[in-house]
Amino acid sequence: MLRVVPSRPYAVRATAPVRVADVGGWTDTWFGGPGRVCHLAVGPGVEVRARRTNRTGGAPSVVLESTALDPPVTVTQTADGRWAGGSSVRHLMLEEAVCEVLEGVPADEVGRVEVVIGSQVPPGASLGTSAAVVVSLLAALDTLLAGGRRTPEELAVLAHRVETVRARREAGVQDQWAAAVGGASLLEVDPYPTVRRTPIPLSDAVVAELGQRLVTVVFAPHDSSAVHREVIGAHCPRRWLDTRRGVTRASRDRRAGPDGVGRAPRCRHRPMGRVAAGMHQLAAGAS
Amino acid sequence: MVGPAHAAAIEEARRLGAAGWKVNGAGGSGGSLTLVAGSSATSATAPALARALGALDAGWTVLELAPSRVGVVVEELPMR
Repeated sequence: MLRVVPSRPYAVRATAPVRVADVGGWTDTWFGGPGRVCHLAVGPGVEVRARRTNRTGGAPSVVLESTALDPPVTVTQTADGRWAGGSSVRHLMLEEAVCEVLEGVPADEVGRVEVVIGSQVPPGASLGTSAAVVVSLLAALDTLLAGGRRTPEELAVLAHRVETVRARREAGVQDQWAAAVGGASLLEVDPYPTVRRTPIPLSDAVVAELGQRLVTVVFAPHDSSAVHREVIGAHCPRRWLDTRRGVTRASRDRRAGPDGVGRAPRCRHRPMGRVAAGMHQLAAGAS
Repeated sequence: MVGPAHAAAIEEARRLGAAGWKVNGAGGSGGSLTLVAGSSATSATAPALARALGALDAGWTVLELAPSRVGVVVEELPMR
């Protein structure tokens, strides 16, 4: 990741692309793997500006503002030393992203921070915007408050954990990787959520031609996590899901490396035959 | 999953000679579609394709997105 910042910056700006052409989607989920997905990162995507404020007094806090956040979301330190937000479930993912960074920073280092989130892409456009926001938010706060030591790959893993573990949403892994590393990538996901990434080179000619010929049309807001839950509920037998959740949990706990150590066993009852038609139709989205 | 809006946009894109398209994300209702304008002399250019799609439904938003080789970037802002 490109960083042009001193050790203790006053204010930072993080930008991240969104993605299109997520080929192989659904196989990067906990119930659809092992996965092979690729995508193309595109921009302009999202922007997060974070700055320290001079206001004194009161508890350390991070205030998030955006046209989509009304009122602003505030994360503060509680009397018992924990970080917590007070908004509805709707903004849980943003709050949890903030908490993820703050939990590793002394409270007196935090002070008062204001964050403004902007996006060139409407929310719910199926372009991985939420993941791009979380990656940018993590990167901005990590740089502002925690020394900015996390790599783009670490930010991708962290953003996925924030979304699926801390905020308990359904999501594959590729949106976070597209936002963090950009370009085009082949991601092999096995065991979930472990990712082995192979960059796909893009020549100058290809980038220029796609820049001239790509058109993206957004129809209406869409909740990806809700569609995931709908597919899971409609197509996956409960017994298989329970087994798969156990495998996923064990895999996440072991945090298998790229050498494949800790590879999770495959579920023999993976219902791909019965589910394949529905899932792959949803996954490919191609016609 | 190809929803009604996706299908309508694809039909128009096909008529205008688009080279290809992909439903983004999970599919279903809403969401988005990315298309590649055709390269032949008879196919519509990307701006023309964008105008045609925008005219199909006033509720749709057409975005100008280009490939991004870089991922997340952090830079310092000047103190104000």
